[in-house]
Amino acid sequence: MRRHNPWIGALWLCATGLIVAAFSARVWQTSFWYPSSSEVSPGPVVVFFQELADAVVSPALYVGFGTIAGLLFLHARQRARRRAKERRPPAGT
Amino acid sequence: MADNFDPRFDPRFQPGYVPGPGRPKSDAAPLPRRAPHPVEAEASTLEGVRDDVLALEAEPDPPVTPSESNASESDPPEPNPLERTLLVIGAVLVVGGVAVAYWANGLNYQYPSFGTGLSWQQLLQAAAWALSAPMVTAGLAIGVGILFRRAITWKPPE
Repeated sequence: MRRHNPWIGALWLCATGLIVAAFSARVWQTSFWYPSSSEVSPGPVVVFFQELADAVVSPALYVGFGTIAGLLFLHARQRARRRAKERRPPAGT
Repeated sequence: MADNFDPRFDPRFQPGYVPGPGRPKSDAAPLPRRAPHPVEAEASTLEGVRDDVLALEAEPDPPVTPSESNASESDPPEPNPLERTLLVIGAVLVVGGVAVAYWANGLNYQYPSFGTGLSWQQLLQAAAWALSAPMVTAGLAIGVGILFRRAITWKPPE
């Protein structure tokens, strides 16, 4: 009986999480790009998170999309193996 | 002569073969035998062949090697020490990449950018900016790679 591989589910979760988080962080960053004249400068915590987003967003997008590509390769491999097993006559007959 | 079995085939399946109790199942040399009465010889030969075939069919599977039995019994398998090292390296790369970028950004507000010539700080700052993104990318990729490795080596529970 074929069971669900939990690690593949974790990988899908990881990939979508990385992409969504990176995209959200970039959208959040853009809200600081055009401040109005009345706005005060954000505090050091916000500045830290902006710099963190600067450092992480691009790598997270790369790794997220790369993980999805790897998952597609993994699914293709599993499918090919399953097909080959179905075509092969079962042992002992 | 009846004792001269064809060496190419198992003597048990050649005419004139008489099985003996406790005889090793080797196909090497034919065994010495007496000359039985024709009818008796035929009956005993058939009996012996049937017994031998049944014994062959009932032969147990080859014994499992110790490594195989250990691998199936040890559940869960021992974690690979190199995998733990990889995890540590990945975490260090991610944290180090972010820290290096944070440090390089902070330098902007401490030193004048123009008019002082090239300083070691500026050189290190340029290197930090160049390295931080690849470091974070490699660290995240190491984590994902470990997940891929576990997904590939995963086997459904029996």
